[in-house]
This record gives sequence, C-alpha cells and structure tokens, in this order.
Amino acid sequence: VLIWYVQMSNTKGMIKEAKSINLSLHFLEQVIISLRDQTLHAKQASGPPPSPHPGDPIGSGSRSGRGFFVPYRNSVLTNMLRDSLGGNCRSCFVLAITPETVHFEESVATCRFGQRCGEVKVEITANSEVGLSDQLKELTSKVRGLEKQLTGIEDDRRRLSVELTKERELRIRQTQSRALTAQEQVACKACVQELLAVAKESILITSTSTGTPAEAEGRAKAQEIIEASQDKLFETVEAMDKSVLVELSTALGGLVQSMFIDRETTKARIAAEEKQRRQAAEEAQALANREKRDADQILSGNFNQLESSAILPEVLKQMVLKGAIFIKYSRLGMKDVRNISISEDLAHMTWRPLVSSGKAKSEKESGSHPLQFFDR
Amino acid sequence: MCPDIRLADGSSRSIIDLVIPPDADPGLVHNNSATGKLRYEFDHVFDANATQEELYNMVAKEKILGVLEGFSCTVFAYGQTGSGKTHTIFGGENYAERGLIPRTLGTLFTELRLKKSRTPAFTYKCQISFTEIYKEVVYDLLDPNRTSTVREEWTPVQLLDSANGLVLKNLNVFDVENEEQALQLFFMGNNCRLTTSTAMNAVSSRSHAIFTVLLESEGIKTDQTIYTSSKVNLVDLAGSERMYKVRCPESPSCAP
Repeated sequence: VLIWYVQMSNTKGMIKEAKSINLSLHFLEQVIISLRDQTLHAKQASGPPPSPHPGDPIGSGSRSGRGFFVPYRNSVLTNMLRDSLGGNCRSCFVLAITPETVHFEESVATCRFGQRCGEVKVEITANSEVGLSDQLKELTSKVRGLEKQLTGIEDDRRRLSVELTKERELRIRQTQSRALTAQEQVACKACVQELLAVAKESILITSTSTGTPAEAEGRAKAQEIIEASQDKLFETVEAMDKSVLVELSTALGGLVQSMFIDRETTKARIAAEEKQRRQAAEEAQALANREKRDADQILSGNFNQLESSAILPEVLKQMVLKGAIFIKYSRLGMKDVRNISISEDLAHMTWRPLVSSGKAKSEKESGSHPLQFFDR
Repeated sequence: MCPDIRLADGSSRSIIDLVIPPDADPGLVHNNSATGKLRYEFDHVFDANATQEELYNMVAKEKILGVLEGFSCTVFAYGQTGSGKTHTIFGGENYAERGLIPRTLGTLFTELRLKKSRTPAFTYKCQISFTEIYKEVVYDLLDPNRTSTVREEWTPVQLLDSANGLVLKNLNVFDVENEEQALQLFFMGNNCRLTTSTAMNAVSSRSHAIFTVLLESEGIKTDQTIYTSSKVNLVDLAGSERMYKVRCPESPSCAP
C-alpha cells in the first residue's frame, strides 16, 4: 500500500490532497482541544485543578471574554459535525493504530488525540418531547391540583392565624394571672387613697360655694361614704388578680386622668372667681368711701374739695358722663343727694341714690329720663 | 501482535502501553524515556484479533439503542493511513466482517420493528444521507442526478448558516422504510466512493466520509404521545500521515 503512496505522492494533486487532509485533521484536533479545555475549566471551577498536559500546542484552546471559543469554522469537517462534536450528542472515537515500529510516531499521535477526545465531557439530553395535547392535559391537571392545594393552604393559614391570636391572648392572660405582689398592693392602695382624696376634695371644692342646708347635708353624707369605702377597696385590692388590674387600669386610665385634670381646672376656676369677687368688693368700698366724702363736702358747701367732680364745664361734662353727685332740693326744702350720670350719647340721664345710703326708699329715687335740651 | 504495543487491561478502563523503540525521535518521547513506554488510557482497547461484532457491541450498540430514545450519537474512526478505519466503519469482504454502518442499520431497524409490533401506534420516519468531504468540499455520494464520474464535475453541497443552524444545500436525503433500502443506499454511496477513485485505490482514505441517519418517531408511553428526533453520524476520517514518510522509499516496512 505504501508503495502506492510513494508513487502517487510524487504528483502535485496527491500533495494537495494530503495537505487538505492534514489540515482538516489538525482543525479537528483543535476543536477537540478547545472542548477539552472547556471541560477542564468547568471541572476546575467545581473540583480539583486538572493536571497540565505538556504535549499541548500553546494557545490551542483560546479563551474569549465570555467562555471558550471553539474554532468549528476552520474546516468543513468540523463545521458540518459541529453538533456531533460539542453539541447534544454522544460521540465516540474508534482509533486505529498499526502495531509496527515504523509507525510508532503516528500511533503515539493517534493515542494522544484519543486521550484528548476522552477528556471532553458534554451534557446530553434526549431530543424527545411529549405531544402538545398531552402536555396541555397534564399541565391542566397539575394546575388544578396546585389550585386546590393553594386553597387548602389559604384556609389553613387563616385558621392558624386565628388560633395564633387566641393562643397569644391566652398566654398574655396566663402570664398576668396571678395574685398581686406586696409592692403592687401598696402601689394600688396608694392609688385608691389618692382617688378617694380626689373625690373628697372635689366635694369640698364644690361645697365652698354656698348652697342649701339640704345640699350641705348630702355632701357630708357623700364624704362619709367615701371614707367608709376605703377599707372595702383595700380588701378588694388584696384579693385582686393581676390580669384584672391590667384590664381595670386600661379601662380606667382615661377616666382617672380626666378626673385629675378636672380637679385642677376647678380649683383654678374657683380661685380666679374668689379673687375677682374680692377685687369687686374692694372697688365698691372705695367708691362708696369717695362718694361719702364728696356728699359730706357738698352738704357743707365745700365744692372745691370734691374728689369725684370738677367745676369747669368740660370737666363737668366728663364728670357727669362718669357719674357725679348732685343735691336735689325738694319743694319742701329737703335735700336729696343723687348720683347723676348721662349716657355716652348724651341722650339719657339716669340717677340713683348714693351707694352708701342703703336701699332705695322709693322708685322715684332712681330712674332715667330722656334729655332733649342738651346740645350734643 | 507486534512486541512494541502491549495491552494492559484495567478493571473498568483499558490501558495501552506504547513501548518506545530505541531509534525513536527523542523530541517526541523525551518525557517518558525513563519508563521506556508511553501509557494511554481509553474506555476500551481491542487487540488485533477482535472481531467486528465485538467492536460494534462494545462501541456502538448501547448508543444506537439510545438513538431510539432521542439521543443523538456520532462515531468517528480516526487513525493513520492503512490502520483500518474504513474496515471498521464500512466493513470487510464478507458478511461476518461487515462494519459499523451495516450493523447500526441492522440494530436500528430490528429495534424499530420490535417497537412497532409491541405498540402498533408507534410510527417513525427514517432518513439517510451520505456525504464525503474531499479537499474541503462536501460531495453528496447519493446524488441521483449525477451524470459524470469525475469528482470535480459533481455538484458540491453548500454549507449555509441559518437561524436554526447549519443548512446543507444540494444534499439529497432519502426516506427509508426498512433495512434493505438503507443498505442499498449505503452500498450505492460506497460504490460511488470506490468507483470514482479507481485511479488510486487508497483514495477511500483520502476523504472524510459521513453517513447520517435521521430518525423521528412518535410513540405512546404511559398514555402520552412522545415525539423524538435523533441523528446518527458515522464518520470515516481520512488517514493522517506525515508527508516525509510517504516520500521515503527506503523504509524497511514499506512492502504491502
């Protein structure tokens, strides 16, 4: 056979043939090396590093940015068998070698090629698929099952959340359901005392304003009741459960607070009223004193000494606007002292007896009259 | 068995030791001169006495059965000139020495017939193509419109890239119903290969031959219709050898 080769190899076509064969086999080997590098790299990422291969041509499995570039397109053979080499395909290589020493190097090259092929690993899957109508049927039943499951889960969730809430409430009650400690009892008693004090005080505060004897009696009775209820309340506190206390305090919280606030405001209001009343009394006293003095001055003819009036017309007018004291002589020559004032629009004149002269003796001593003669 | 190759059968994988001859190129074997041999490990190693049947059962049978489930498979034959690639893939002179292609077709159609008899609803479509790559040009070995016997005048198959992958233009794909039809196509293509290369007998290893079987099936499995599609490629690569060796007439083992 080889003699044939020798003869044929002398022709140009033969050399060309051999060149293209060797080239395409070389490209096949390159593809295999790239695929093997890909496999080793994938293994390296997850397993132990691969042993280096000294016989490999440098840069045969070139890496591109994203992964390994496999040079399928270098030859027609690899391009055509692209799917068989690196795709979804079980591939096997049958290597043929000659057991002759003269072909030793070819045998080594063949074995080395085979070794590299054996290191390529590809994931394969069967190209099979279920018919569409069957897929639809299967998926529909699956969806139905899942929907059912979902409803069940939803129901369970709702039920569980209700149970959880109940459980939580129960646990809170359990942790709080116990007799009060001594400290808590003392605090509670203090609280009760304070409350009772507030109640008593509020009764006292209201009783400062005058009332009928019956009302006063009612208040006294109420106070007695409050005092009597303290012992009873203390007993209750001693027997009280913590959970009851908690509930009670949350329920009463607003009420007690408003009670305290009410007490403060009431106190403040009463103090303000008291002050006002005192001031008014003082002012009234001062006015009465002044008028009394003036009246005495007028009766004794000492007009210049008047405190509450003046003689000048404008001053007089101002005086009359404020209210001034005049002496009215009756037909019988009796002197009546009157406080006379004119309304601000100078339309009405009013008169009244002096503050100090006690109660009006008759209707005539005070009154009002429209003024028509004044030049306003 | 020549003394410079020794088979060392491992438990699960097989090891082949190449004993380095004393006159070997030192550049090739420099790392292994201490042991005096090169060790390679393969899935399986066959010796010279292995029969075609043994090889087929070990190499391809399981994969061919997988094809019926939708797994694609490819078998390459690689090696130097005269080492027996074509013999492995195509076969020898007689029936017992038939190679991987006829055996594959035999297994495929036997299994398909079996499946059909078991479930009558099972249907399949089998297609065959047979191509050859010669000097970087793809030729269709089964082209029925071919008039010339000169290879240069054949219509080459064009490789076109498309969105769905590679498209082979001018390639004939034949529907086959049974093993006989498939074998007929195989022999036809094989004949073409040989007859066009009568000028030089060894030209069969001067080109890459690709025998492709496409299988699509529709079957019922647990009340579901299942479609599968798979592909078998059987590739006979051209022989690799060094030019200088070819040109060397003084080589002692050059006798045929």
